[in-house]
Amino acid sequence: MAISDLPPLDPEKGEWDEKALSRRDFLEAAVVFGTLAGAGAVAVSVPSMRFLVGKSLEPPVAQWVELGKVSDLSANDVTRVNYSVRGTDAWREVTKRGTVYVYSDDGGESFVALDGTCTHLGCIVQWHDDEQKYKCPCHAGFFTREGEVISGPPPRPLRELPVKTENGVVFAEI
Amino acid sequence: MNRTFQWIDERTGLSGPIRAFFNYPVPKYVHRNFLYTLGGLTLISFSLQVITGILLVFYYDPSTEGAYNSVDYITYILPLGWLVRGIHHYGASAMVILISLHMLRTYYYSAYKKPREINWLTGVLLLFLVLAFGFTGYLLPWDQKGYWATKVGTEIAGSVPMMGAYITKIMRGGADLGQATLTRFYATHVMLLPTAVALLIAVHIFQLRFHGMAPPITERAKAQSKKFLPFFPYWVVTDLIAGLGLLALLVYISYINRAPLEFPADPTSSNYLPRPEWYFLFFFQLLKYFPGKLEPVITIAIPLFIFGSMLLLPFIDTSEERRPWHKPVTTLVSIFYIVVILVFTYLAMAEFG
Amino acid sequence: MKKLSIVTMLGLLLVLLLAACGGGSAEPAADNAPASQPGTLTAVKVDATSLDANAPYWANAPVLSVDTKAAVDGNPDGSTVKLQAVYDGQYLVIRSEWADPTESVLKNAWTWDGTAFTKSGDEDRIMITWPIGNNAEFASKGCAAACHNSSENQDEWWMGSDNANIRYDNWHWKSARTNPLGYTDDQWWSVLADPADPESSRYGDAKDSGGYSDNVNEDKSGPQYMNGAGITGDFIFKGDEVAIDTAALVAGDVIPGLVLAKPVGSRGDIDANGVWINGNWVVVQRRLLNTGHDDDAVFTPPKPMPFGLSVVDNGGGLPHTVGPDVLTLEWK
Ligand code: HEM
Ligand code: FES
Repeated sequence: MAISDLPPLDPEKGEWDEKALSRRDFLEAAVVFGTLAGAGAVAVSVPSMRFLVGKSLEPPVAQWVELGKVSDLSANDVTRVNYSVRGTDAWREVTKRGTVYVYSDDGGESFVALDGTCTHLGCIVQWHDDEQKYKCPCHAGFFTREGEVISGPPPRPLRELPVKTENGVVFAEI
Repeated sequence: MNRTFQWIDERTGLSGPIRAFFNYPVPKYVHRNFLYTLGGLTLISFSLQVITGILLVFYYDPSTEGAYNSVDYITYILPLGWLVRGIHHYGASAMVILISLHMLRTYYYSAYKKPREINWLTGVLLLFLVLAFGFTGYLLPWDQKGYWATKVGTEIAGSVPMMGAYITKIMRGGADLGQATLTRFYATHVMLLPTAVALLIAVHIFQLRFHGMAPPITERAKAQSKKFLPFFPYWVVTDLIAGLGLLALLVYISYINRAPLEFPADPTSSNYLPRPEWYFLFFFQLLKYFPGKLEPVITIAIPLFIFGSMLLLPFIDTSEERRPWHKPVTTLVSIFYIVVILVFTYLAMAEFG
Repeated sequence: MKKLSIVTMLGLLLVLLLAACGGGSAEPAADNAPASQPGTLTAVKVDATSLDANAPYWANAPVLSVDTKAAVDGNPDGSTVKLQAVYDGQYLVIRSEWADPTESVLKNAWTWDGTAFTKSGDEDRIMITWPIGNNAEFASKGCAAACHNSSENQDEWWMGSDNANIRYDNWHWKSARTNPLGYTDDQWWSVLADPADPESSRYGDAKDSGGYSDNVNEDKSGPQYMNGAGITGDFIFKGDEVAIDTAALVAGDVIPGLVLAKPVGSRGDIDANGVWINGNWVVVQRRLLNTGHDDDAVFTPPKPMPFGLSVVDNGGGLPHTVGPDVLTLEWK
């Protein structure tokens, strides 16, 4: 908007100040405005973005959850464990729940734990004992007992969780 | 560049109105005058409240179980949470201060006189809505301070003759101060009030544009009243500088003094001394001098009188005189109010130590 | 433009500073160990903390004096505890000092009279209790919020909560059982595990190994061990214990009633250094601001923390004397 754009004023009312008609003054003020407005916008938006991201990119805190006593877990079959564990969910203390499948390859000496979350879009898979495979109800993904993909859309095997046994109790880290 | 501009203009027809908005002639006596930036600064502080308020809503948990923990999380754990909450917290005070100063400026310049009555009336409503922002926001952290101040505040509303008990219950959403209260205060604070304030600001500013600035009162200003500068960039740049100064100040205050958060609300605590936000302190203090039956005088009669006289002001004071030093009545009345507010605020602060 | 912006800034600075004054706090003077605000313990930030009770920074840390009162009506009141606190980027350190005419470190000790043992003795203690997570009731009432004393029978009174989500972190410094190995028993309180047992609401933090154990023989008539490193010592540390040999004792010998070991794990999170001199206990305790353990309170300066305090002179249980109301830890 150049100065020449300023519409003439009603002479009754008054007239433009000569400063308003000076190209130099106008440009100077416009540049000061542009610089400050830009700086202000950055000063507001960058911290705002940081605030909105918050802790969303931080890795979840790993936690050991109890799967059960060695004696309670099947030595041969796959056991479904619905765990619940006390934890912090952002600002709340909550009980977190989830599903883990546990089996043993050495007759109950040691255990393998698989996260029951399907690697496709996150549904919880179901163990079918008769067919000896996990079936995902959502888009018909199938996994072997060891979690390998047999067929269907899942891109990766089921996630294997670190396991430890303490005083006869089996834990998995989620 | 020009072609894009033209393209947009041909479809939207916006260039005319935008140009008119930017080129709006502002009298020279307004230019670089601090007193005339107060309204713009109030608008800027409202924008800051809106921005930080929207940011806070991303984390705030409006439940009696979660509210305190979420504000605690924002204040002490979330990256930059102290800053966003600090600006919102201190910005609320800044907004009350700025809107009051802006009102005093327009008052002493007799800017409420014909034909600017609606400008003044929307301003009075805005002042009360801003105070309502403060009152509803105070409860949201669900800490001792907010809980007990709201308990007392809703109780005060209950001293209205006849319908007091209903008012208290409606404000609380039930007999007790609890989840229903928090939810309605929250809804009022983040939905109702922001919408109402934004609409009123639009009317307020449209009125200003329609009538232009009220005539000057000093000889020096009168001498410049026939000279004009375009709104852009001359006026906006001063407002912008003042606004950035305000922001810098709020950041600084938030940094040196983290926005306070008391311990969580305990409805069974017996030794907590309720205390409202500082701008309600004088009112709280006045209550102490009117115990028992006289209480409604302070809680109802006086606020109604003040609010009513503010609304009626442009219709009572209809003379042509605009210079405060030639209008002893309005000037003395305002000084009386200012002194009362300052004195009782001081007394209350002295008492709370 | 310049003039205007300066005027604007100054004006705003003035009004806003006035507004901010409401929330502002006065700086305490840094002369010789200034007094604290009533009920408030101010932790002073220092470069590096230690367990040294005479570290130079204690001269600058405000002293909070807490007069302890009998927790149960009729019992004598306790002494005045002088509390101070400092912190660095990692640790919170609390120094406490209180008058106690006798140093009691022989809890359940066995005295040999030539033919048989008799058991006697208790210990001195100081307890600092914090809420784990935000706790409205504790923050406004202190330990009274955890005190369950409605039963007619005092033996049924207990400390803890009615809800498993409400937990307390209890720093239980014990002159006989934990101080000799430089730690404080890190415990937590919650609901009663066994409704019939009033002590079952108090739990020890998780540990992998270690901790003290009673030195008692199978029929509970005397000690199982004595100190292989010198019979007359006040303490037996794990590893030094040898089977009791009454032939080596002379009448009047006292055998400690405990075998001490420092716990490994959350139970041993708090380091302590307690010394009794001239009728005073001076106890310095230090813990990580955040241990990362689920059974511990987390300190997030500058977030204020409510806490409760109690001391016991040569005893345990109900005779404890407590600081009134709630105390607050603040950070400077
Ligand atoms: C769209 C506009 C706004 C939104 C979305 C909003 C939102 C919020 C939220 C979520 C809180 C709770 C978090 C906290 O307490 O820190 C809050 C608190 C508060 N708000 Fe607003 N707010 C807005 C505008 C305002 C305005 C204009 C004022 C003032 C005059 C104001 C005054 C307050 C106050 C006094 C508190 C309590 C602050 C404290 O001490 O924690 N708010 N607001
Ligand atoms: S989510 Fe399991 S197959 Fe799609």
